Parts: sequence; structure tokens; C-alpha cells
Amino acid sequence: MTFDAEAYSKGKEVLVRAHDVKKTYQRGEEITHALKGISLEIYRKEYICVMGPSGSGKSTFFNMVGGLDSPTSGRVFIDEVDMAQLNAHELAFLRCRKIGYVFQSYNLNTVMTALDNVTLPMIFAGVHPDDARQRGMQLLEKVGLGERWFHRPKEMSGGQQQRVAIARSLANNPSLLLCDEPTANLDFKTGKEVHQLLYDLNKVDGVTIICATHDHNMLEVSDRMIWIADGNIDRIEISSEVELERSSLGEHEEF
Amino acid sequence: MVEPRVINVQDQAKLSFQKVYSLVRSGIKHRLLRSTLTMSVILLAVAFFMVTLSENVIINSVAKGVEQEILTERSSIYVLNHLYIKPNLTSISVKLSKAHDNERQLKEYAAVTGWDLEKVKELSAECMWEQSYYQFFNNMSVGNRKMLIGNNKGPAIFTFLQDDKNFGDFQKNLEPLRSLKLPTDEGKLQALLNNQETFRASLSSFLSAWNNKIEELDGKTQELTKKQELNTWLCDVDDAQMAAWEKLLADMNFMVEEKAIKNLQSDMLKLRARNEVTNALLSPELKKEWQETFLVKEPLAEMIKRLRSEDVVEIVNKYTVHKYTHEDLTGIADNVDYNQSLSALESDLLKQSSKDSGSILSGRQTFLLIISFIVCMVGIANAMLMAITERFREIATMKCLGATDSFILIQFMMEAAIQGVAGGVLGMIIGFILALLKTTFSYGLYPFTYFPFVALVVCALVSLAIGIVLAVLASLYPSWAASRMAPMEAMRIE
Repeated sequence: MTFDAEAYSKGKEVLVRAHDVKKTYQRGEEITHALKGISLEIYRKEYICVMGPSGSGKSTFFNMVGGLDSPTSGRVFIDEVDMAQLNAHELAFLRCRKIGYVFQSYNLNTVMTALDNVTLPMIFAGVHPDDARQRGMQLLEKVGLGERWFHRPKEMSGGQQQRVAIARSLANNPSLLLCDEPTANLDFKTGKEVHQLLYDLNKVDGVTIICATHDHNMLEVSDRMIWIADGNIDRIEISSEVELERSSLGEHEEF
Repeated sequence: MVEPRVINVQDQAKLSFQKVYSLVRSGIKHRLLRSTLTMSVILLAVAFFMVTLSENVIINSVAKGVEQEILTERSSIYVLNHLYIKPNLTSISVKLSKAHDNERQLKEYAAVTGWDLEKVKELSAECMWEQSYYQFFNNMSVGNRKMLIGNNKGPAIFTFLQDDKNFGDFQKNLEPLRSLKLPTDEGKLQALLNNQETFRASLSSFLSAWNNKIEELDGKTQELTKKQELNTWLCDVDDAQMAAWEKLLADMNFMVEEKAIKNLQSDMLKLRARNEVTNALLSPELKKEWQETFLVKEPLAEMIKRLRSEDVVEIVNKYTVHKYTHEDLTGIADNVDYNQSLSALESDLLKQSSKDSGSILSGRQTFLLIISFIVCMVGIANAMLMAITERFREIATMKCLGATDSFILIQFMMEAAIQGVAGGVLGMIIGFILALLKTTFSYGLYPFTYFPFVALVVCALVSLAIGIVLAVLASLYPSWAASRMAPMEAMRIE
């Protein structure tokens, strides 16, 4: 299956551009090449799934795109901003406003209520507390937890916690939502709810989503799937084109 | 390739102090156990510091007050001793050195002996040096003293050191004993040694001049009192005779404060009554009668207690020359008690002050305090590091959400500072109460009579400040480590 980049990119606005990204880790004498030169463009309003076995460099790639780590060589642009040029303070600014993060283990602040968790990024962005509360309530209602804004993470189920985390990631209207295996800790049913939520966000609100996952439900809703293996992009697939194929062969079960 | 855009961080929000504080406060509230542990470490250190410091402050204040009381209580005795007791070479040196900053006293010495005032001042200054060297040699350990000056005592020390060879040995032996500091520099000591003969000669000539005058005064007083003892004479003297005695003193240039003379008679009466009654209580005949009346055999202290009851008046008056009423006897009993408690306090406080040698904290106490501070800092640093490892995911998540390094740093420092304030205040209060209990236990109500309010407030502020500083210092590294944590740690799954 080939991916026709030119045809695909027609009329689309580039949000993330990775150009020959390499990352090496040095631990004593041993040098690990986690990424061996990845070039990729991700477009606005796209829903992308990143797949790959552990140790493939998937997490490293994910961190690069999310502005959590800087490449050894090559450049990563998010919204045409070069990540490598930024200092710690500017990176913090970027993470605060441009990127939303959803983690596998939710990572909610356990001592805060759901609303406090959602308003925290807005506080970092300097939004007025009243406005922050108002928007926080709107977001919680959007993820279906408007009634439970005063609950602490301990008092909520995993799916509810993940929905709070998604509301939090949307707090500052990010251009990009980064989800790191968002359903891995959830059962099938709640996982499906989270998918639906992400799908709606992408299709209705036009949020760009990059999602690392092993979940097949997730693949179905994505626009493109990027397979990473051994520090390189193995292949890129457009999901509408592979749907038929997969249903008959089931060849990606191993992932 | 498109030119990279530069992002403008100017509009990145500066978090208000209040916002950070409310975040930190909710954090502490929900991690109460750990915060309490950290707080109690600070509390212990501050309480220990506060106990030591305020106890010393209270004792110093009590010592000063008691010293004043003793001076007032015994002023008459001091006056009479000064006027009628002949000093020897040692005691005149002590007297002169004590008088070195008392202009009035020096003037009296000069006027009575007929010496020049400047010469007396000079002599007094030299006596002071001599006394400070005596003290220096007295305070050192026996071994050191033996090595430095052999078995010599008093003026013999100076004679011993005058020998060049001995002085060389002295210098050589003193060199490695760094904790011993000479009261003067070595040059001054050498000058003093060279001056010894003249100093001794002038001191003894001063002494004999002073003693001659005292003898003269004694003779004239005996004429006045018709060979009666002065103490007894003063008790029954009338105003005219008193005036004659005062004139005699003034003629011979002795200066006695008017206040002291005024109290002299009543003091002497009190003294006579006390001595008479206590002597009577000690006599076997009274003891026998006492035993028959009250059917108990009592030691002197118990008998003095019983002086306050009315039924002893008759018995006591049988054995005394002067007759006493019930009120008199009660007064005598109170006076005896008061003097006893003063003497007890005096010896107690003397011990205390010799241990402290002037400064608020002794060397040993300072050492213990520093150790406790170090232990406290290690404890806090450890607790904070634990708190950070425990919360690494939270910190990393915060960084993902846009928290800057400085926010994390300030957050953790503030957490430590709040714990420092809480621990400091509690420790201060507990330390103060303990110190008050301790001093009240040893000195009764004197700590309240001489309550050093201002000094204690200063102590409290200092210990509070120490609590906060300790907490913040100890949290410097852990907070820094937290602020440097990479945001991708948030992705890690345990």
C-alpha cells in the first residue's frame, strides 16, 4: 500500500512538520538511535494514529511532536514554530496554549476537584479565574461531567477521569491534542465512549488529534495511520483505503 | 522551506502570589500527614532553640534582679565593712579593680589616702589587669595551669613569669592551646611583668595609707561610741549622735551615700532582732521549753516557721533582752526565709553564670544547637525529596500543562516556607512554655518578677526566623530538582 503524499496534502494546511528528525540517546558507551530521520507532515483537523511496537521510537517521536523533547538533529515545526529554537520558558508557553495532552494514566491532580483540574492550564495561561471557571464548566459539560465538577479523581471511575483529562487538555483551545494510549487503562465500553468523544472533537470541533494507540476501535475513526518501526516510518496508511483490506485479512492483529 | 515563526512569550501570565499560595495550601491540606511530619521536624528544632535561648534569657534577667536585691538587702553591711574592715593586699586589689569605672569610689580612695586621683585611677587599671590574669589562670584546667605556671598562685605567678626562661616556656606552651586567649596581648603582659615591682610597691603603699586611715577612723569611732560595738550602738543612737558620726566620716573624707546612712539604723535593728531571736532559738533552755510546750522536737527551720504563730511570743521573749511582739516575730521569720532564698539563688545563679561566662549561649549549647539544626535540615531535605519523588508525575503533568520551572520552584519553596512558619510558631510557643516551666521549677516566682519581655520577644522572632530559614534552605535542592524535571516523565507508566 503506497501513500501518495502529494495527492493527500492537496488543499490542506500543515500543522506539524517534522523534517529529518533524528534522536540519539547516549548511555555511557552505548549509543541508541531512537529516531533515524523521520520526515512527516500533519495537517490541521486531521486525526492521526501512531502505531508501533515498544522500542520502535514511537514514544520518542511522540515527545518530539508534542514539544516535550528536542531532536538531536532535524527540525520540528508546530504551527510553523521551530521547537528546537525555543528555550524552556517558551516551550512552557507553547505547551500551555498550543498543545493539549491526554495521558494513559489520566495524571489528574488528586487533591483537586474536577473543575480545578480543568481550570489549572487556564490559570497558567493567565485567564481570569471567573472566566476560567465558566469555560471549565462548559468543557466538563461537553465531556458529560457537568454534574460532577466538584468530585475529586478518587471519587470517579477511570472513564470519567479520562474525560476530565480530555476536558483539561482542551482548556486553552490547543491546535493539537496529543493522546498517549488514552484507552489502555479502560475497559471496552468506556474505551469506546472515549473514542466517540475524541472522534466528535475531531469531526465537530475540528481539533487536530495525534494518538498513540494499540486499540483497533481507534484506528477505525482515524484519518491516517503512521506505522513506526526501528526508528523509521514503516508505512503510512489512509484508513478509508485499508478498511476493507483489514476486515478480510486482519493482518495488524500483532500490534 | 518556510521561515520559522518566533513565538512571543510576553503575554505569558505571571502567576499571582495569591494563586500560587492557594494551590500550595490545597496541596498541604490534602497531604496533611507528610506536611505534619516535616513540620514537626522544624517544630522540634525551633522548640529546642527557643528553650535554650529563652531559658538563658530568663536566668540572666533573674540573676540581674536578684543581684540588685542582694545589694539592697545587704547594703548596710557592705558600707560598714568598707569603713571598718582593713583589707589585705589581695582584697584591696579586687576592690580597686571593681572600682575602675566608679568615679565616686575612686574619688573617695583619693581623698581618704591623700593620693592624686590620677594615680589612683592608674593603680585601679593595673589592678584590673592583674585580676583579669588571675581569672584567666583560675578558669583554665588544672593540667594546663600546671604546665604553664607550675604550682604558683596569686602574685607568685607574676614573679614566676618575670624570669626570662620561665616566660619563654610559658609562651612556647601557650602556643598550641588555641582555645586559651590571653586577656591582653603579649606585649602588654610583658610590660605588666616588667612593672611588677613598682606596681606591688605602690599597691602596698596605697594599702598602708588606706589602712592607717581606717585605724584612725576606728579609734575615733570607739571614742564616740564609748567602746560600744558599732552595730549595737547604731541601733539605739539618737539623731545628734548619728550626726556626730556622719561628721566624723565626712571629716576624714569617707563618702557614704545618704540613702545608705538612712537605712543603716533600721537595717541594724532588723539584723539585731534576727540574730537575737535565732540565737535564742538555738539555746538549750528554750529548746527544752519549746519541746515541752509543743510536744515536738523541731530543727531550727521548723522553729522559724512556728515563729509566725502567736503562742511562741511568750516563750521567745523569756530568752531575749529585747521584747518582741507577734508582728515582729512574723517579720523576723519572713526576713530569715527571704535571706535564705536569696542566698540559695545567689549560689545557684553564680554557678550558672560561671558556666556561661557572660555570653547568652555557652559553647556546648551552641554546639548542640548547630547539630540539631543540621539534623533538622537533613530531615526536611529528605522529606521534601520524598515528596517530590512521590509527586513526580504530578510535577511533570503540571509542566505539560504549561507550568514554568520557576513556578514549580516557587511552589515547593512556598510549601516549605509555610511548613516552616507553622512549625516555627508552634515550636516557639512550646519552647517558651517549657523554658518558663523549667525556670519556674528552679527559681519559683522570680522569673515572673523579672520577666524579660522584650528579650523574649526578640528570642521568639529569632527562633521563628530560624524555622523559616531552615525550612527554605533545606528545600532549596529538592525544589530545584523538582523544577528541572522533564515533562515527558508524565508519560511514564509505573
